Amino acid sequence: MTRGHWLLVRSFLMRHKLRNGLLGVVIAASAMLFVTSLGVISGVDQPFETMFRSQAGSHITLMFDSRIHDPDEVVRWWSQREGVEGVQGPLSFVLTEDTVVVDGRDLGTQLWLAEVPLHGLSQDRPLVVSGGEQSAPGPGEIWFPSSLATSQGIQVGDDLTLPVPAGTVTLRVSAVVIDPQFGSVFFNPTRAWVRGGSLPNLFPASRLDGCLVGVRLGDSGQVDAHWQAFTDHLGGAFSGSPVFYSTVRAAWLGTSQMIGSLLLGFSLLSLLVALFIISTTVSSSILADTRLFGVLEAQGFTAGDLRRIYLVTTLALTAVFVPIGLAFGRLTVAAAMTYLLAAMGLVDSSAPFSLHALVTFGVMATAIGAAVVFATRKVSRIRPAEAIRFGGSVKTATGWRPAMRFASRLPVSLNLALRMLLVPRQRALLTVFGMAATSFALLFALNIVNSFANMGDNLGNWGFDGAEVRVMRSGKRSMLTHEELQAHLLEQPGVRVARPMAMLVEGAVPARNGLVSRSLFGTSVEGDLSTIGFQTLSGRSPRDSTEVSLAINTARDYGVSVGDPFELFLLGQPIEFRICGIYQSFSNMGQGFRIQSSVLTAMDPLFEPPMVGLVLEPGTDREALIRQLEADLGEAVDAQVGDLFVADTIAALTGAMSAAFAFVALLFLLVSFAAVFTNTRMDVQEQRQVFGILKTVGLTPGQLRAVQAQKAGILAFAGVALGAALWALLTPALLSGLFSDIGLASFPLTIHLLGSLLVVSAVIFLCSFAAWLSANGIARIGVRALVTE
Amino acid sequence: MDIAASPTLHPVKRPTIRFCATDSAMNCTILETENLGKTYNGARTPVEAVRNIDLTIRRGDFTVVMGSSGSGKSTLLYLLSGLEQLTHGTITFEDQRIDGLSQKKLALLRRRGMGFVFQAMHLVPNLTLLENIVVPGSLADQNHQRLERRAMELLDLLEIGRLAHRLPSQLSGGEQQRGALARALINSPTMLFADEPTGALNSSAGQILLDCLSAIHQRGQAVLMVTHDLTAACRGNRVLYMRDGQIVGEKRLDGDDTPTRDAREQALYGWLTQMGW
Repeated sequence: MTRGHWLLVRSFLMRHKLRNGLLGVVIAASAMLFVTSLGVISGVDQPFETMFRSQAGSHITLMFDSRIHDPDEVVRWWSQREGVEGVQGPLSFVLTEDTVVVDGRDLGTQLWLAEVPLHGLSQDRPLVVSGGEQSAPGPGEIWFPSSLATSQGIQVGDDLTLPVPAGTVTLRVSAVVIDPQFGSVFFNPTRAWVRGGSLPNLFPASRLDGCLVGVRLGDSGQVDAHWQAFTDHLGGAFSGSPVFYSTVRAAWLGTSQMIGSLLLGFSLLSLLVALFIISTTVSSSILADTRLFGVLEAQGFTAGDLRRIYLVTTLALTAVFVPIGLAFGRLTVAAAMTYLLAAMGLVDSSAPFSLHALVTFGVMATAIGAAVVFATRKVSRIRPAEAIRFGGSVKTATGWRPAMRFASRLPVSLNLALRMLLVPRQRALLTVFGMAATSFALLFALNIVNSFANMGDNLGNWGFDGAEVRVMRSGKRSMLTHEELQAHLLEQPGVRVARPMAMLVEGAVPARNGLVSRSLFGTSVEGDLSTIGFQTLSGRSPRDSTEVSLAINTARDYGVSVGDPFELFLLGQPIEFRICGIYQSFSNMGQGFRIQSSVLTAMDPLFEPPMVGLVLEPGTDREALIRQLEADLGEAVDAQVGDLFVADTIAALTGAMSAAFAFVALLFLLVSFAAVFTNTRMDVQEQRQVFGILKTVGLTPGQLRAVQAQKAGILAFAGVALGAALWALLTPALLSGLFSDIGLASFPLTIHLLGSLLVVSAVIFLCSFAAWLSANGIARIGVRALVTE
Repeated sequence: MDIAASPTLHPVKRPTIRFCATDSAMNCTILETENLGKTYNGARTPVEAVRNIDLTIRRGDFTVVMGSSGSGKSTLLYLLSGLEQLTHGTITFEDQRIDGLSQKKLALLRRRGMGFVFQAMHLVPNLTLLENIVVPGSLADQNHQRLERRAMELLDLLEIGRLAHRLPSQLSGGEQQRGALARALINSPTMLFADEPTGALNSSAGQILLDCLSAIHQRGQAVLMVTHDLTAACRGNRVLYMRDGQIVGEKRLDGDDTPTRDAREQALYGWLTQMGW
């Protein structure tokens, strides 16, 4: 590159400051989105690993009944195993019988209770994030998990009312802690901590058979191998619930990685639009500068020189604006991480931003460079003599010419807009493509968030039951039998269906198909599952004690389908089922099973479903029914609305997604605005002769600006229609691909019709407005524009 | 303007003219064509813009090509400079066949061998006059200081040195065109091509430019100029008349019978009238 080359680079940069500035905005926006997506994808990874390591999280947590497995033997076996860094336990471990109440407010969830010895824990150490420095809860105190504290607004000093066999006991929240094992919002129930030695005071000995042993490995990649060895040692399946490192990790990172993947997808789309804008702008510039190129070739510049000048000019813009985008991206990554980590109860994101920034810069510079090299290939086809004498051949209007009988009824500006619609064709296509991408992104984002936000209206499709009211039996506090409760509920006006259910039925799958044995949590229902809202993707729900329906990822993991046999350990006994259906389920990452209650009753005649789910007649007042039941049955039952947990759990997820997608939507709108503004500027410049003629024959600048605005609006409409069609076609497959890992093979999309219409209208309006704004140069075009040419 | 007598003028250094074996320098052939032709494939029928041109241009020539609109004179200029591809025939420039060269090699040839002045100046609008001259100059000379010094010399020679740091929009048409002339001369080209250089200028500015061209020719620069302006044509020492793509006549204006400008103009006018102009 000679000095002459650099002078021309400077000339090109300075000649179209506004256009280059808008290109820079597009580049910066794409860089910002790209680096943010990288940050979100990887930003939680390191904090999680740091948290897990610093709190000595167990890679295998065994929860079992001490009457079935000898805790000391279990501890001894693991302690002697090579590759095991540490073993903790056995610790007492109890599930509360009912939901807990904080400051008079029912949280709608049970809690696992574990003890913190006075000297503290060697593994799975809860990290106190508020509440001062203590090594263990004091008498009458409880340490509360951060995930639940954040979603429920619980603070240090709040009073927690625990249901215990003898009644209730109040404990003061003395600290909010991060639980390395069960701290994710996707674990339900989660774990709270009491003082060492407290549980025997709260629960009778018969409830203290629960045991917890934590195993920390030197290599987290060896979990399966160690577990296989353990189950081989047992001679069969482990009769308890193991929680593996992979499950814990997925629960912690699933949300952020899902959001990060979506952001990455949007950023690639945004980059594609940006490349198209750059390519089109470069092509238009070449067209406008054709005469200059001819003159430069006459002076001795080769086509390669000219292409190099364009490449350096665009890379100069990249070198300036990508760092600007990265600077803003640093802020958005920090904000996103603060939000995501707070929601997960983690702190201190330490994502390697400099590495992400380098990757982003490299990707963008390479992509932009390639786009420019592609767009400038036509420079080689410029014929110098023709270029000098005649300049670039600007295509004349090739738009649609409305039939005369219609043309006379249309405003003159609309006629002209239609006539000039495809002038030039490439920029028109850019507008259509850009608006298609923008509307696709906006519709995608809006309706995903809407689907999550309206999950409560559509629970069956998400894998939940559709019970509008849940009535939990406080068995030991009353003599109310299961049959009496059932009869009483069915007598209530407004109750259409009353289905006895048991959630969190503990099962275990023996090792098969190369997979180690594992625990599964399922649901048992007495009667027809479909009447309580359970749905299936294939087959149907179980009708008798020989049938089971499996959650989608459980079926995938074991390679089974409807009609196949499936063995489950329930209450310590192996039972052979036939798979009658596969369902999708958002809870437990798509793992689980559903059976008839008769299966459990056959094994344990004393088994009674702890809960009854009610489906009400339309128009029934849920709150009034709940008050009536509590008045009729007193402390024998605890009634609450059915989707309480779902609403609370999903609120954090919906909030995170809304923030992320709002950010994406803003960026796409900004890029769209910049693209249309730039296009219109170039249009006005190239068509100045035409506009000059039109002004001469009597059209006002306002009318001519309206031509540009209407042209942009028509193209935007076409783009929006294309984007909406693509969204309708591609979204189901995209969403299935994105969410199948968390159990949603068929994403239950809930379309916000009004919102969608508003969004696409806003895109069209924004386009027209950008064109109107940009076309103000028309006012300056005069007769001289005709003469000098 | 008496550029030839200017005491500040630094002679342009030229490479040794190796290809001229026996002729004196000023009679040395620098450009030669044989059966040159250009046909455009029009929408319906092909159009022969230039046909059967046999032409020789020597170093001492100020060749003027005249003809009515559409006679092919500008096409001929672009063919001779390699900016337009010929359909048939040969072109030899400085003893090198250029008709088969690639676009890239032609561009490299034009860096040092050819300079151009166009009707519409075509200066880069947001570079100063000096920078516009440095741009092509840098292709042949990487020494910034020497390049700028030479550029300033040329601008001073053309009496626009004080305007070196102004943008084209701040200059008159005549000043811009003199700037374009300086740009064309920065690399000491063997041949200067001018396509209607006074077409966009008023008469006084045009005269100033023609004075510059004459002075440069007197210093040994070969010039090929296309014009339809009789006054401009008189500056040449050789006039070619084109009709329908062919050279139909040639008139030399450096004989003893045309000692003054007026005499040359009268002689030329008479001849052109005979040609049918």
